[in-house]
Amino acid sequence: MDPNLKTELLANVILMAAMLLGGLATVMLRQLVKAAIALAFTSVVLCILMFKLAAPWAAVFELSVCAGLITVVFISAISLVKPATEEERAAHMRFKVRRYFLLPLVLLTVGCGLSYMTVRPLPVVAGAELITDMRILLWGPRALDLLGQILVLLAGVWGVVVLFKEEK
Amino acid sequence: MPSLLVIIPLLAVLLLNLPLNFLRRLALPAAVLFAVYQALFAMQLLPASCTACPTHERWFVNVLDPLTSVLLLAIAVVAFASVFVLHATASDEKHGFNAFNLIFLAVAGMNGLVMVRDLFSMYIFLEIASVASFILIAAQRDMGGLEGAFKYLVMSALATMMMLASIALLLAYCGSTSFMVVAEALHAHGSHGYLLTAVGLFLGGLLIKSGIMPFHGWLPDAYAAAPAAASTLIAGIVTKTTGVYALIRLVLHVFGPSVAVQQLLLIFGAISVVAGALAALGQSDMKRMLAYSSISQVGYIVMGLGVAGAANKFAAELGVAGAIFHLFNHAIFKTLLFVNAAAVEKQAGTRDMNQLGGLAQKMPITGLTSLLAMFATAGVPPLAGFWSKLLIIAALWLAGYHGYALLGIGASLLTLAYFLSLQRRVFFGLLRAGCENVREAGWALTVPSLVLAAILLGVGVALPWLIGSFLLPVKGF
Amino acid sequence: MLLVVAVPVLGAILLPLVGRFCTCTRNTLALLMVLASLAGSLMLIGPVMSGQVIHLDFPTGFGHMMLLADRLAVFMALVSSLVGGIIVFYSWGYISHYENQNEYYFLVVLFLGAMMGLVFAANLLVLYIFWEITAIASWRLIGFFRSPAIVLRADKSFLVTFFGATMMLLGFIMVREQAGSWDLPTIKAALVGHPLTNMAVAFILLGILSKSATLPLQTWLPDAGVAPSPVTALLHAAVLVKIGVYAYARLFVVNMPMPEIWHTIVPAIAATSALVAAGAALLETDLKRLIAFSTISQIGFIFLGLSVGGELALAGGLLYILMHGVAKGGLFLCAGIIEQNTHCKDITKLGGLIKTMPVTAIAFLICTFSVIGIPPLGGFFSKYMVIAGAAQGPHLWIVLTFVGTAFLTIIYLMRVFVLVFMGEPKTKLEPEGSPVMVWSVALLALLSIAGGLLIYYPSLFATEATRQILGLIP
Repeated sequence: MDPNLKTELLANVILMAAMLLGGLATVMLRQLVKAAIALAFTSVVLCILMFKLAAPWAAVFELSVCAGLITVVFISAISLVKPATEEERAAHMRFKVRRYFLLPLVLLTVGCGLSYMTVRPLPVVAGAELITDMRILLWGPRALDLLGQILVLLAGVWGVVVLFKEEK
Repeated sequence: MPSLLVIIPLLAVLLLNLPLNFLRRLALPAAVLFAVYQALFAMQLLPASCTACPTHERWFVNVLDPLTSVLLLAIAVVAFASVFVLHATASDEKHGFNAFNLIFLAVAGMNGLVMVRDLFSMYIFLEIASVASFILIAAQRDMGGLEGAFKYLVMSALATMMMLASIALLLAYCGSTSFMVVAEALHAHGSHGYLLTAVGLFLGGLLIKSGIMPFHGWLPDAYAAAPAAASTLIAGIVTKTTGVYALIRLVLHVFGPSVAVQQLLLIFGAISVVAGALAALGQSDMKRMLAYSSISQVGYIVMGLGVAGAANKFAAELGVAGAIFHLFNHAIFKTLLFVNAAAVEKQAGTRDMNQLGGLAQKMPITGLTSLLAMFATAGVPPLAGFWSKLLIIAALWLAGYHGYALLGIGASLLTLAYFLSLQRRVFFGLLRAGCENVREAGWALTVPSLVLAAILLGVGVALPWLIGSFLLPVKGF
Repeated sequence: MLLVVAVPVLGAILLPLVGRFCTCTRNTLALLMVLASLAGSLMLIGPVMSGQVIHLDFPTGFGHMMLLADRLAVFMALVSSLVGGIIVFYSWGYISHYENQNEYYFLVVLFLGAMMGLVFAANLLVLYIFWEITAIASWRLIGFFRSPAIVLRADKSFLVTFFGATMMLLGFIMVREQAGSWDLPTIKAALVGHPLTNMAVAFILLGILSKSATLPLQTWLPDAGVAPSPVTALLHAAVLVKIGVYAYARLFVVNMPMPEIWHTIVPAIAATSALVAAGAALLETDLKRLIAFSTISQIGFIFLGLSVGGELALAGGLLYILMHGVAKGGLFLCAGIIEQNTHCKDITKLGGLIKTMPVTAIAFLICTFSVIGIPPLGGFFSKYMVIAGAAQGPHLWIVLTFVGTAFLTIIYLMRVFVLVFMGEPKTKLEPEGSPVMVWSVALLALLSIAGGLLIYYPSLFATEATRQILGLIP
């Protein structure tokens, strides 16, 4: 195999392993702040993967929104919360270990299995090129989706209002 | 103008939230007016609905076919009922107002959902309705509501993840997510592994969203724990559009009713029909029983859809018409039942059927309308539910699925059994001690009950004359 | 003819409204509506006897939604509305001390209206719709007193009949598949020379048997005796159970030929049902349950008449519907008087009532004689025609079973009469029921006598109807 390709592959594997570990850490860590940081780390790794897979727009959004904005929101929200006692933590940890220890194994097996599957390539339907320019994509054929996203955001705003606003 | 159906609710939300106090009191009239407008809009399309009506506008081009019109009508009716319920049951003005906004948003989402012809847009509008529903369910911030909302959220996230993955696969191969392009690609290379995976993932997501057994775990909790208005809206129409409508639309017009899909739908439909009815028999909470009944009825719709690709073209047409008609009926009678449950809960203070009894004497309108709704659900003529069930069973039989037809008709006996048990424990029978002071619910609950019951009875009685021309063109039945 | 159906069905909705203002007007109006049906059916006699078949067509998505009046339909409509009218009259007295009277009259009139619709239906779906409306009405009526045990039994009867009805609907779908239409005339034309499939017959028969409470679906009928007595009379005696019989005649005898084997199976089912129910009646001590078992047994005779074929048996079967309706209605209404006045339904605890209730006792006796089949009462002629007609057929053992059942009938009915009315009084003797109620039972007893003495007219009608059914005349 071409040595370049080999390093490429190795890098990909390392990155994916790192992402997996980050995701696991997010679920397993007992402190919310650390979990939020682990999530940010996962997002960053995912972002690098997206760059490597030639999807720069998605990578930028992932980095700015998921890794940046959301982490800030999470950490600021977590700073308002009272920490748990020692026993609660221990009990929670035991529960999580019991529940999740098989998960990495399952994921690895499925991933290995899938990577050995060969699928014959499918001809891309002709005449429908992907629009690569984000501006055209957003304001051209996808304007309706933007309207939809505004509506989702509004619903989210009401979610915050209804669920998290303290009663006076 | 179809796009008004999405834009008006959006504008309404924005306008009503201007910092002027009197605007809050306009929420109910505004919602009712909009529902009436939407119902009239949908009705005017129905007689001509054999082919899609041309619409010249940017977003929704030629989208008003019968399926969409029927759904628009159902959404309008259910929204109408649920804002009344909200008015009657909201704990205070602020909660009520927030819920009004969320109902507006959910309606906008559903209207968009039934009118788009693009997988990704469909996904987005589906999310609007779902997100609004999560919040509506949890709005009381009680333990049950939060639990129900959380379960719904998790299952829904799983479902949307599957759908999104499927959309990504399809986009990669078809270069577009519009129904037309995807349908053509699937037609050409339908047996390819990737595409099969994509179709399977999407169907799986939709089955979760529709609450089909065995993916129903979230549904009873979400329905039972939600506040009255929310459960009316969600049980009546949200899960029906986000799950069942999407399933019908995609199976008919995008994925194509192949043999595998057909078998899948029939099997899952049959499981839901029977298991849902059996589970409903064992419930003592009124709303939980209705939730399981909902699972069972959705099973009928899915079974009807499962005939869509039958070799017997007449049976296929009957099956699809029956499925769509049952979807409409289900929206009406299940909404009516939830309105009744809200009335009982508000007036008697409990939904536990073992603590109720003989309420028909004290609440005659609620008792009578619930009776009509139950008979419609069980498929007793001359109510609307009878005709849709008849169409589905006849389609199953004519298509050669004799076992499924027998199963479906046997399950309607189970349906009647659990509803008779509900009637016996809540409405019919002697007045139970402790219920002497129960009185009929106020106008805000009786008006929607009467309107919905009138629809059930009217459509049921008039259907023989309507079936060839109105609502669903079925010729020569 | 449309009026015959529409007046009670639509009028029934008015009754609760009227009842809010004036109970008296409501009661009169209820009776008038049923009498309007009776009058309408009477007016149909003329045209129908001259050989006409009257159609009423509404073109719809399900074929021509037709109502159709031939001699069979008019005969059945007359019987139901006649007995129904008397029962409504009796209700004035019986029901006046209970709650929910508005609902009661609404349901009774609706029930009779649906019965009229069923009788004149010429389309399988129309028939099914009216069939279910009668089921709903009878569910509510059986549960009229609303205590938990009673409502449970009402639910049971509804579930059993609904089970049968759904099976029948599946059978109808099979017929639709085979014949290509829901309209009976079209089906009849399509099925000439092609008998129905066995499966379709079996499914439809399940529905019929469940409605007319024949073995193996008979259990709901004795349990339904918890209903108010006029309702039991309406359900058990006069109308509801006859729906099954009528549907059998309408579907299998008139329109849809069955495979040959069923001409043995149906009489066999009828014979078993008649014999078993008669045996149960012998052992029963609850007055209303006993009469209910007797009904199941007598229904067997009607089925025999309709299913063995042959003109005599068929005409006998039709006459039997009339005679049994009148006489059994009388028995139930008498039982209602006894029950209401003594608050006791156990025949072993009653006795000597003839001293204080002479009219009731005599009416009971006359109706008993008619059911048993003692000449010159109406029941004798119908029973004789059925058994004589069946004896012409090939199944001798079935006929012998029925003759045995007829003897059992004598024993169990006379046992009731003797225990309840003769002997020493065992309870405090109560006076007669209210005049309205006593008049009603007297009227039914008189009708039983008249049915025998003036047997010429009903038997003429029945014979003519039979000839039309068998296609002997156009």
